[in-house]
Amino acid sequence: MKLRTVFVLTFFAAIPFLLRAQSSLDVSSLAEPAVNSWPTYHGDYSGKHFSSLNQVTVGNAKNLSLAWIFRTSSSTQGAVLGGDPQTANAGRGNLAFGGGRGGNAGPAIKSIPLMYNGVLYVTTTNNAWAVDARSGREIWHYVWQGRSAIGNRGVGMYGKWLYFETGDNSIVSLDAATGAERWHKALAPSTATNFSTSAPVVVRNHVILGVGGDSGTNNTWVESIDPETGELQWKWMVTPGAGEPGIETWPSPEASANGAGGPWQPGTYDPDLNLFYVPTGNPTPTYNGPSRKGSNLYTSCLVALNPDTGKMVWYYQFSPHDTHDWDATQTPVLIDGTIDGKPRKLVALANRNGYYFLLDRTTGKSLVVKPFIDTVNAYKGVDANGVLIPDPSQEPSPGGSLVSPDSDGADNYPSPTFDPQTGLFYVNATSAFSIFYMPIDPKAPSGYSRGSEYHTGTFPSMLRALDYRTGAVKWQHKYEDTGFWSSTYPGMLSTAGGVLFTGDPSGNFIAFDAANGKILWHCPIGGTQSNTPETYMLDGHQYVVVAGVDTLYSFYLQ
Amino acid sequence: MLRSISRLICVGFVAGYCLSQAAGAQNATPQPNGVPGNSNANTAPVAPTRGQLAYTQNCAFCHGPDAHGGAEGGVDLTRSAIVTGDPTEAPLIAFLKVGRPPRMPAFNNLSDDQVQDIAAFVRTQAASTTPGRGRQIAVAIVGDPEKGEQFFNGAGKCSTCHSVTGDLKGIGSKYSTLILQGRIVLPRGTGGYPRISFGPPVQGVPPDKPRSVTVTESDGKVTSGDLMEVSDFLVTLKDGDGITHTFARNGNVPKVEVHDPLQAHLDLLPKLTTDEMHDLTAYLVTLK
Repeated sequence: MKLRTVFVLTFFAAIPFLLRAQSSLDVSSLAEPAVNSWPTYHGDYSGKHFSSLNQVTVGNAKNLSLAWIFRTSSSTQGAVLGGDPQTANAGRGNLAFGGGRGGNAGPAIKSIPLMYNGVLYVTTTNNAWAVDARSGREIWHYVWQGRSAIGNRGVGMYGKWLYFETGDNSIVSLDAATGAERWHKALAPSTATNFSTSAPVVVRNHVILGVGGDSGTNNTWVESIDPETGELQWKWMVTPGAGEPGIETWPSPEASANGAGGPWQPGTYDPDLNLFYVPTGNPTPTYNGPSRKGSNLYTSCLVALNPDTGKMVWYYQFSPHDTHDWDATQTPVLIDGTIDGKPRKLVALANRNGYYFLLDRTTGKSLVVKPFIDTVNAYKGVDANGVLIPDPSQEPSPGGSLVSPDSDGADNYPSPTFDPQTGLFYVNATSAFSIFYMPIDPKAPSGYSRGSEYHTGTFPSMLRALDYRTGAVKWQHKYEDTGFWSSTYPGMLSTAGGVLFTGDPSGNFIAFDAANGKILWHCPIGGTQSNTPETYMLDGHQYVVVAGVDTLYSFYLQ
Repeated sequence: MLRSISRLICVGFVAGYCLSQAAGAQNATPQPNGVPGNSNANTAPVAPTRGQLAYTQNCAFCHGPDAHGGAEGGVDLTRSAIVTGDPTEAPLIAFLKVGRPPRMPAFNNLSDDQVQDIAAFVRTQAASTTPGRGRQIAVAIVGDPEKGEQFFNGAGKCSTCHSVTGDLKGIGSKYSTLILQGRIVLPRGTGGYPRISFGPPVQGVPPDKPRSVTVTESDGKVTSGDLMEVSDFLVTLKDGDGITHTFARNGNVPKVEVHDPLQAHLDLLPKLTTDEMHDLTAYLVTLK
């Protein structure tokens, strides 16, 4: 028994050395759609979550079978440790959500794992694992000992290094081969009400990070650091300071400085325009509109930043003066499309507020603003600039305001997908209602400012396929049950094989025919699908990998 | 209509302002040494101060920075018997070792001393009577009861199923305004986050009325009961004897017919306005 243990330990200890020689990512490859890897959070810079792989097809998807599973463990035994043991809260990061009955109880995997050279890099808050993509075996486990946060979206990779944000606002660089810490630096004090959950995105020699936090009194920002040294290159604050453009949309510089707007969704990037697209979070105090009169720029916006300087080139605000926790941290999907017969560079975003937006991504000009759920009721319409006009009577109020969607949103951070073959933009849409309350507190409200939300207990959800040019629904698949978590959380993947992957509220991972919504295959994965699926080729197999709460599942055609 | 809305909102703000004035007065009461807002850098940290750090690092994300509940669904801890019911903190220490998965994880990383400090901090927060989140919020009644009555008997079609002298008799005394208004919209769930309909019973909220389902197999066999779960692939029900049955689904085989006793609420919901909801609430609270 002991001998066997020694053998196993020796074997796994050797793996990092076997892999070390080949695990160096050339970041210039990120501009092209990946085939043999999943080298960045969105798979490539476009955020389409579309793969050109076509081994799995509409015809054979029914034969998908399990390759392996990898279940995360909170144990620190054998792990590489970082951070401060005095504040250790290892492994208790993510909110654990179960998918109805039988849901797993561990911290949920909300990250999209990177896959490079046969190794997957997957995270939960303060935990990162390297997993053998052929066997599902753990290669190494890194644990940051520190304060937890709601989740972690994953790592970024540059050469042979990984970059990982911790719940308590540090950025850690790890050796991809061993999990050994190379350096770490604090992005914000660990005691700040900020929290850091985003996945770093690497553009040339810029590691671009988002720092969030909307439950206290803080500002938030995007920053770029040097991949070798961690040195700050630039910092873009979401909310403006005194005398800066946009400050007129806040009652005071103090309100702006505590206005949050956390940019925690990893951005997308157009190499030709050299613009990095960052969606920003909701303003705080979240439910308390009267304390921050104005449109509260640049919260709930999409901003286009120059990744070399951090300068903002344009912005568009999805939810002016948001009071319903509708951050805009959904994926900005870059589409090279055709409008009125002319080729256009576009960016599409299905917003938590229930509207589908299509913008010109060169200028930020609004082209389409159309609800993708049928129940939206918080806006009066659209102004001359194509910007939504909030209805003040639907702000949280002492008597309660009946609003759809609820604060979870019509969708949320998990990625939708755009399939250039069908021209359809797919999104899991939820039509929930909440009653929003706000007892006015004149004494310096903060965080959620003791506003309150009564969820009305019905959360019908459906997969909708939208014409990207108009937002019109081409087909939909209504999920039978609303489950505990509706379908807000399962993200999506489309493929050149014509197969669309996502999850239902009942804990099934499903392959749909992207053309018409016909179900081709499914697998119950023990809990609600908790991340966005990915695909890559390895050893001649097209793998599809997805997380169900605390476990990764890998499928292929045997 | 617009004027009516603004009037109601105005009344609402006044009511809210009065509430918060009362809260502000409470906030002015002396706070224990070292609690935020009372800087006392020269003395060693006392339990509530140490507790606030541990609280902020471990609990605040879900339960809010002030322990009165958070947007992520954590309950108001100042009203939790587990936290404040026993001065030795034995129940809290025991509870944190196991948690209540899947919503509440175990926090066995915390020492007993840290748990004591956290409880001390939460107790300081309980001194404030500012309305907390969730069910404890005091809701202002801003609607027009006469319009509510008209809606009840008219456009809302509430009287099709309900009677103010029958099933709704005394409804205004039975629930808080918050719960009453929520149940007018849809009497399902607890108003909590997430949308848990199958969780343990919550004090003051009756259990959900189950949906019923009839499953007819291809050989004509019929099974009926309370619907437990339904997807494109399976349907699970519990029959009158308490036996659970699960059927695999393949398109329309077997035939599955779901009946939701709350369908009229679900049909009304997308049409119901905030004003109509306020009016209905103002009417139903008068039914003492």
